[in-house]
Amino acid sequence: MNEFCLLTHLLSDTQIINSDISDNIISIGCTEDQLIKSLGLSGKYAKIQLIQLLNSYAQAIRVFGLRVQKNQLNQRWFLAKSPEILESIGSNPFQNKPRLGATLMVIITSIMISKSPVDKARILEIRKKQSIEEDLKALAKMNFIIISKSKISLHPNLGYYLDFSNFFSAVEHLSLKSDNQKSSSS
Amino acid sequence: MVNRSELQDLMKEIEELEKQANSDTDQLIDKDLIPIFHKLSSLLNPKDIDLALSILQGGTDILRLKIEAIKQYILLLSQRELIDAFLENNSDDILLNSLLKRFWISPFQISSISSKYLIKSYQNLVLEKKSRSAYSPPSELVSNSEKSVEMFSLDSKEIQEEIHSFYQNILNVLPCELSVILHNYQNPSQYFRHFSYILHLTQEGFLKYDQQTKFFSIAADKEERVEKYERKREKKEMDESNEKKKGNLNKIVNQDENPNERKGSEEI
Repeated sequence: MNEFCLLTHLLSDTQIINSDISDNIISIGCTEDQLIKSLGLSGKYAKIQLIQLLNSYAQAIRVFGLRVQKNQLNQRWFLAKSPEILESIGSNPFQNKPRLGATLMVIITSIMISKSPVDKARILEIRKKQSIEEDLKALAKMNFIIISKSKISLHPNLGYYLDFSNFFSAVEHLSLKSDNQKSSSS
Repeated sequence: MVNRSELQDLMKEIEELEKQANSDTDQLIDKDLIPIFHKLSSLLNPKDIDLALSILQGGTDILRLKIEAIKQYILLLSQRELIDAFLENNSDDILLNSLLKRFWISPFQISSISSKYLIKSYQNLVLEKKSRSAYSPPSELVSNSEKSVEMFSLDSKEIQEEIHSFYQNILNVLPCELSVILHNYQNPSQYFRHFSYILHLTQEGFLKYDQQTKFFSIAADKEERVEKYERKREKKEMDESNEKKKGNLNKIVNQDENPNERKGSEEI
């Protein structure tokens, strides 16, 4: 068994965690410390060695439409299918449900900029819809959000389904672009 | 010695901060790191220079992370209004959804070679043939997250028909590698279903596998095999039909022997 075999196992290892927050919290992959320990890396350059190994592994599996991703919500590294693959095989859950995807996008962005759970009323205000209750129920059922009375927070599983850092950069970029267009036209 | 143990405490403090930073760098924004560096300078001595250097390195790493976190925070503060305005002015479902879809990923899990699937295959393919004794898998092997795939029986007439039609379909592409034959079956359950058809066809002698070239090809006596298959199928159908006729005949004979019973049934 070589390091790549071991990495494939470590990065796709899945466990179900019983928690007070939700019944279906999944834990996939490993933290940096767990990877270093399992791969037998040691010394002060262990972290650098791990990053180099993950980089070469990511290069090797790119041909299969897979990538190595870090879950920003629990800091675990895991194996993920790329957005292009999901799009082409039609397995994106929002493929034919733009309204549901748009509601989730607004919830994620609002929580990320406020750094705290967001009010249902605020999301309804941004979405400009008569009601978003059905959307919220569906998203909670899909384990992407947690609803607690009038507050909405992100489900820990969501970190395995969204590339948070690139998503947020794109939102920032679009917001800036939209602001520039607005000021130049006025 | 007191000096050394204090340095070690400082090292532990640094390690604790590193752990916190790994889980959430925002926590560092409120942390005051200056006392750590003051304490380090007061405890410095030539004997423990190695330990002091490690603390200094850890401390500067954390300081760098804190500066990054503050930069991000300032950036977020300045852009919060812009993002809010963007969300307020763009309520188009398709635009917002497309942004989410661009960065939507999915964890990679192989449920089709999971323990649950393999055990189910074992039960269907081996236990039903009664060639081996039952094996009870340890309960911890079966994970809740794994999905089972419904298996099928090769004895059924429909499956036999399906295998035959699959064989007719692949005749044009042969000889070729396994991946080419299964190219159209990307769904895991379909893939393994058709893979088992190939195994079945190879075992029955319709296909031939060359280990060196890794190519599947039509067996030399293909015509004969196909004829044999057709004959077998026709014979089976004929037997079934004869059985049925025989059954009907027996019924009529029985009814003739018991006219009262026949009469009774007509009345109903």
